[in-house]
This record gives sequence, C-alpha cells and structure tokens, in this order.
Amino acid sequence: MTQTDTQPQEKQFPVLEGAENITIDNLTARVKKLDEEGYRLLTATCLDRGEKYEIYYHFDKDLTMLHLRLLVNKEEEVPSLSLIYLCAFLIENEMKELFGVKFSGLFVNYGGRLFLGEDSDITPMLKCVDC
Amino acid sequence: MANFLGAVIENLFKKPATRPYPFTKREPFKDARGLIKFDGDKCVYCGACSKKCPAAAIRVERAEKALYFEPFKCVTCGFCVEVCPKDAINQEFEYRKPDYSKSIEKYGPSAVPAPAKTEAPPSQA
Amino acid sequence: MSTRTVIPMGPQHPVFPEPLQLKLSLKDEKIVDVAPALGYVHRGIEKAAEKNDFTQNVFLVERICGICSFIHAVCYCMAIEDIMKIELPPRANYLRVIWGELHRLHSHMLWLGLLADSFGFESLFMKFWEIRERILDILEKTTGARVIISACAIGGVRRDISDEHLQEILTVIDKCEKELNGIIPVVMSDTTVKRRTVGVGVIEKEKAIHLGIVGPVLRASGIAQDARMTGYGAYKYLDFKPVVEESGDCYARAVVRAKETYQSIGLLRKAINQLPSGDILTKYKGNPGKAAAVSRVEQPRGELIYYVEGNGTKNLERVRVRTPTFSNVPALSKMLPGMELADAPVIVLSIDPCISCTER
Repeated sequence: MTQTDTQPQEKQFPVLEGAENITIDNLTARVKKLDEEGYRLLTATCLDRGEKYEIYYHFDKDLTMLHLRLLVNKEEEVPSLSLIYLCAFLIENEMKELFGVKFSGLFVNYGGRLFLGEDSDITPMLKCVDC
Repeated sequence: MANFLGAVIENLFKKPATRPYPFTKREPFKDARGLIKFDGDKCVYCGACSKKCPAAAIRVERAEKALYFEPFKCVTCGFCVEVCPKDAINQEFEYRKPDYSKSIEKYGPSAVPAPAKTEAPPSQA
Repeated sequence: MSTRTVIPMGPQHPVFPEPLQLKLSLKDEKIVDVAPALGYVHRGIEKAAEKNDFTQNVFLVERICGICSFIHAVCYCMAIEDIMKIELPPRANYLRVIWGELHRLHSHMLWLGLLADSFGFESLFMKFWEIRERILDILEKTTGARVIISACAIGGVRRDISDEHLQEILTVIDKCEKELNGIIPVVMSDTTVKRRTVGVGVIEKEKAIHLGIVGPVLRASGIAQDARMTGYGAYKYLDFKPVVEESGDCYARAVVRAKETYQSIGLLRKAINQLPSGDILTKYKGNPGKAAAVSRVEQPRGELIYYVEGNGTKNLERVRVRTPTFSNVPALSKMLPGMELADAPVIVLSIDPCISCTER
C-alpha cells in the first residue's frame, strides 16, 4: 500500500503493514459493515504526527487482524464508535485524555478525567507536552 | 461441603505450610537475583551499566573514578551484570535488607574503602 | 421507592487487590447502574517507554503487571523481533512457553483463591494459595525471582533451565495436580459455591463481541477465542485447544479457569518433553528501524496486544499496550445491573480485574 499523502512534514512515518486507509466520512459506515461481518474491535492506537493524529483501529475475526488507518487534523472531530461497539468508550476516552483527540457522540464521557488528576491540564502523550 | 471434608480432616493433622519466619529462615535459592555489589578495583568506569540500568540507579563519574549506586532504586534485574565488560559487578543471592534511610553507596578504587555511605546527592535525574 | 442510592464500591475494598472504584446506583438492593472510576494507579508507562532505550523497556513493561509480568515482556519482545526481523532459537521459544504457562498457572490459582475469599470460603482460599507458593518457588529457582522474573530478552531468553530443574518442574506440577484434584471439585460442584455463582453476571454470546470482552470471560460465553490459537512461539507445536463454556455466568468463568489450570499443566508436560536443545539467545545489532508491528499473546486474563513503532534510534516512537482488563471493564456495566448488591464483589472478581494493567 503506497502512502502518497500530501504530508507537509519532512519526517516520514512508517505505515503498519496491511493497514487499510480510511477517512472520517466513511469510518462509521466501514465499521458498521465490519460489525455485521462479525469482527471484534480489539483496540485503537493513537499516534501524534505533528499536525495530525494517526489513529489505527485494530479488528479481529477468526484470528486474523484487520487494521484501519485514519489520519485526521488535530482540530477535526472524530465520530465515536461507542454506539456500534460499546467497548470503544473506554478506548476513546483514553485517547481524548492523553492525546486531546476530539470525539463526537461519546457514549460515556469522562470529560478527560479518566486517568489524570482533577487539576491536570496537559495531554501527556503528545510529543511536545506543553504545546 | 462433603467435597471439602477430606481437606479439612487432612488440615487438622498436617504440619503448617508456613515457617515461623524470624526464627527459621529459608536459605536463598542458588542464582536468585538479590543485592548488587560492585568491585571498585576491577571496574574501569566505562559507564556501560549506568547507560543500561532501567531504573537509573547507577551513576558513573569517569573523571573522579567513582561509581554511585542507589540500592533503593535498583530493581535487581541483573542487566548491569550482563553488560559489564570487566565482570566487576556481582549479584548476590540475598535480598536487600530494609533500612531507615535511602542510602547511596559509593565505589571507587581500593584506596576508598568500599562501600562507603556518602551524603552527596547522586544525580539530578 | 423511586429514589436511588449511590454506593461507592472501592477504591479500597476487601475483594479488590488493587484500587478501582465502582459507583453503584441502587434501587433497594438491586443495582440499576454502574460507573467505573479509574485513575488511582496510572503511572504513565507508555510515555516512559518512549523515553527509554528499547532494551530497557523489556524490564519496564514487565512492571505493568505484577502477576503476568513475563507475558508482557514476551509480547513486547515479539513486536521488537518482528520489526528487527530476529529469528528466535527453538529452545528459547519453548522456554518462553514454559515460563508463560507457569505464570498462567499461578495466576489462575491466585484467582481461584480470591474467588473463594470473595464469598467467604477462607480455608479454600488458603488451600489454593498454598499450592501457588510451590509454583512461585520453582519460578524463583529457575529465574531468580518470584513473580517479576525478568527472564525474557529481545532475541530469546536470558536464562536456561537445567535438566535438573526441568525434572523438578515435572515433579512439582505432578504434586500440584494431585492436590488440585482434591479441591477443584469443591469449586465445580459444591452447592454453596454454585448458589453464589450460577446465573450471576451473565453475558450472552450475542452481546459478548460488542462488549469487547476477551480471555476466560469471552470463552465462558461460548466463543472459542484464545491468542494461543494463532500459534505464536512454540504453541504451534503443542496442539492447543481452547477451553470453552456456554453459560456465560460467574460459574462458567470459574470453570474455564479451573480447566485451564489442568490445561496449563498438560502444556507444560508437553513442552518439557519436546524441549529442543541449543542456543537460547540470538544476537542482534543496531536499533529498531522505521517500522511498526502489532503482536498479541494470551495472558491469564485474556488477550494482550502491543503496538510498537520504531524510528531508527534507540528510543521508540510509540509503545501502545492494550491489556485484557482494559477491554473487560466495560462489560461490568452490562453484568452488574439487575443483580443484588451482595453479588457485586463476586461479579467484579469474575473478570479477574488487574487495575495496574488497565491504567499502565
């Protein structure tokens, strides 16, 4: 899978082998289809790519893994999967808290207070914590 | 409860499974990972151990030929013993004893009696 | 009665080995809603793993969990070996299976003991922990430490097991099996145990996938899913078949774990008999390149997933850990409502919560 995005960064990031690219618009439809086919949502991995977030959604069916790769700008809202897979609410709350990813339609919203303390105002997993 | 009756009766006549600890102590197993001891004479102060230590418990001052070790940071993984090029690190089978304060051990060439406790803060980290 | 009472269960509670708070909304004695509150033991290990040298991370990830520590290290090493294309010597693969199964054995023993403790069966709890101690002793003899054994390294294992110790493992597991034969039937068929567990905290097969549950909880709901079926390490040579139960309640979860203890003993015997001789460590050079890898293994609590990405330096770009309890906690919000308050400890314990894993 060739990755010829319009990435402005000079730094090239690796792409997980076999990952399927996906955008915000078709994420929900694709995941709904996977759900009907009987896939399990394993987890999601968020990575800080400078201007963007890169989110991998990992699925599994009959011991074969399927990865969806989503690149979003940091201001954009990502549709939550928690209405399709209930278990996604904890994963998304964690991403929201540690990376600052914005989600729309979170089933249970911890308001960014899942792991961190009440007075903490940073998103610690970003590469540059203070910005 | 009938299933458990056998075990109950057996328990009545069995010796306790535990040891009366401070009076009877178990010998440490051979090759158990316990205390870390350095040999200030064999050591060449290359700093390999301090770079590899996952707990950042070792600090090597090359210029002053000194090695500062914080036993209470150490996680006894034994990685330093593996990476030492001169076999100057020795892992004993005994565990570390509790202490009132988190002391720092200083090691150096044998002019300095090792290990000596120092008051100097070991590192900024 | 229309008013609800909210009872905070935890963070300190006799059945929780670790701090977790559940806010239980009650209507009389019935639980109607539950909200888990996490964050008491968050240590930022994923961030620390980015700052460390990738060789040091083997020891760091072991400290995520105090029970299945070795399996964490195995999963991390598998991801790094995938990135760096390191081929493992066959003996190392088998040794990883042996230590991994010993870990599963002592973890299940711990859980069965805690289950007995959660409904007040103290003497059964003591019995299980007495057996567990023998397995910890054998771990200490072979690796040098009781639980955080630090035996795994990138490219293999750090210590070999001598023939004498292999024989000792065989005698110890024989003895354990004999003793388990005396007390596992108590868990499986005693009326007092059954009354507290049968039909409690049910998760149906259809709901199980949407709840994202893994491990023994998923297998107790009738879905044969076990990461060991993928045949990582030496499991492909050991003819592995998962244990599956159909009823999906606390009793089924206890039965799955009880049967898995026997299964682990069987796997250990097979692995020791087939153990090939040879090297235990492959030497490698350099740092992980710009590549990403996902690895998964089976922990006592379920499926563990690591996403590791290198960037060509000795530090890693990202280490993501998905622990089994992290995906089992959401299921509590479906298990608890409708149950009595008195059943809550047994239900929460039935997912084998490991909070240090969950929060990392």
